[in-house]
Amino acid sequence: MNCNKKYILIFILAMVLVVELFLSLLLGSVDLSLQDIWQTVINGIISDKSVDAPGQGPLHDIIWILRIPRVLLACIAGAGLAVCGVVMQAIIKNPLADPYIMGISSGASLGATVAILLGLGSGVFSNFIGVAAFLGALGVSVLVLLLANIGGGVNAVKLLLIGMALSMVCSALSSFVVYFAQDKDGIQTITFWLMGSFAGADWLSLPVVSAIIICGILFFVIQNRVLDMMLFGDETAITLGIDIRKYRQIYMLISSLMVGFIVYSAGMIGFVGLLVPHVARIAIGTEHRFLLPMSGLMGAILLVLADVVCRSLIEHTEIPVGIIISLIGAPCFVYMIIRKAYGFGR
Amino acid sequence: MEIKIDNLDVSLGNKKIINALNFIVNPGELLGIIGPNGSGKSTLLKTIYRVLKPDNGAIFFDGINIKERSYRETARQISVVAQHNDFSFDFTVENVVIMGRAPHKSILERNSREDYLMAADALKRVGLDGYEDRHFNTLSGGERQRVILARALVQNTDALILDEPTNHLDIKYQLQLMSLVKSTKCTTIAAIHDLNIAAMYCDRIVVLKDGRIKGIGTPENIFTSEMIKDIYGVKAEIFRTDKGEIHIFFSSARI
Repeated sequence: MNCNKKYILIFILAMVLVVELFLSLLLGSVDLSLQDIWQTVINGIISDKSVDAPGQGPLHDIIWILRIPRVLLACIAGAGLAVCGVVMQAIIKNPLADPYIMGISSGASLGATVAILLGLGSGVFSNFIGVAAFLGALGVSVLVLLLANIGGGVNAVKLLLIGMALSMVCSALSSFVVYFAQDKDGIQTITFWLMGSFAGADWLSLPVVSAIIICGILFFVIQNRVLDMMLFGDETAITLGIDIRKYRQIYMLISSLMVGFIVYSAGMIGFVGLLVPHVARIAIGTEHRFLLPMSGLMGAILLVLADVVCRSLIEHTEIPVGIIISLIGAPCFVYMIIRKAYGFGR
Repeated sequence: MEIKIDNLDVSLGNKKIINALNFIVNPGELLGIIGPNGSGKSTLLKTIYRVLKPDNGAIFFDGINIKERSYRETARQISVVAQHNDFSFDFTVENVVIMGRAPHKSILERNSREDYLMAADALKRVGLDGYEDRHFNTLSGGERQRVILARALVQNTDALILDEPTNHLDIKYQLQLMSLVKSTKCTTIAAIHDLNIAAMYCDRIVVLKDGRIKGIGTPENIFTSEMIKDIYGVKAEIFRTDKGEIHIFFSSARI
């Protein structure tokens, strides 16, 4: 497939995403017509009032306060997770990596568990569970990096093993807290939170999260050649003029930050960061200058769709988005791998 | 480009692998390095292409200590064909070859049409015309080795480092690869196992054993039954043809 075809494919997916974002606004407990939505969206964009200014009518509130932030968060989180998945797979040179692999998931769980069961910080922040999870996630990945730096060079295997070891410590601590807290409601909250949801989206945190994720994605797109080089290995990279050991740490820090913010605003959404990079590779190849935009778009499309499904599948009930992703995503993934004889390149 | 190895010591862990090594590679020369397994050939080459750092001593390219150059600058001076080239992700042959242009590009600069033409031309030179869209991991060991050589050619450097370049290649491609390397007029350092190939193509030979130089000179002077017995511990006979070609025959009886 030549370059032009790849650009066209990326452009088509971008169009699909725009249409999907618009259509997804249709769904919800109140039935709205396409006409209403179009009008309200346009009015909201050209209006000089702030989004949450009172007295702009129920239609405005439903669309601008309830639905748009949620859909945008799903889009941003999907793109961010997929791109971080691609980056993590490059950093540790392993096709099984996902954004949570470096202890981020267990760090986030520990943070959330401590916040929910011990009530730490509940008075200070509105989304105190998110804040605690963010701190847990970032703390663990920084710790992994620091430990991997002891005793000379950071290599992929070392990062992975230390990440796994710290994950176990965090899980053990979480279990310890859960075991001694004996709090049934609390445990249920943790379970729900760990399955991920976009219901908490609001205009307060969305701009911050979006800015971080978009800047992160742009940064990695600019760095596409270094990411390609990472897959060739440390030695080859040096002979081609780049010491990737340095880049590996910077990239890990940036992607931990991105994932941390996604965890903060949407909880844990598994599988996207593992599945999407592979599907994107089947579609467009391994070169990161195409793979990153492709993965970002696919991740966004997938999560917006998954969010629509979990809002509408059972009436008046919301299914955690993580469940939908795994249920639909995993079989599709297996099917694609079998059909295309895609062996992760081996 | 002249390469000067000055009093070089290299260790792996606590073990000293290269011991007070001194030699000069003249511009345009093909220098072969021979020696038994574990003699330090790869370690020496890795130190020259900067994957390993010397404990003592230094390496100079045209009189400048490589330590003072960035990796990128070094990558514009030397290209490397190393031994292990399996990737855990699947690139196309073109992706791999075009990477040779990376040292010449700034971070935002994209590969130009000329770069792709260079890649296609390099593939033609290594006998892999039209392989651009093949997947690297589906190629045979010999084809991979030639793709990596094409990448080194695209890197367009004055010097070339080859670590057992003819491994995996059948005899036709061994000869073809060495002839191609010779025709580039690059200053070349090649670690070679096959003594006959070394004798056929190298301008000079360095004999390495236990990290020390046991001999340096033209193939004429270096290849003697005594040297081979001394270095490898095997019995060999040397024949010289009227044209001055050297042929080495080994005896199955050990010494």
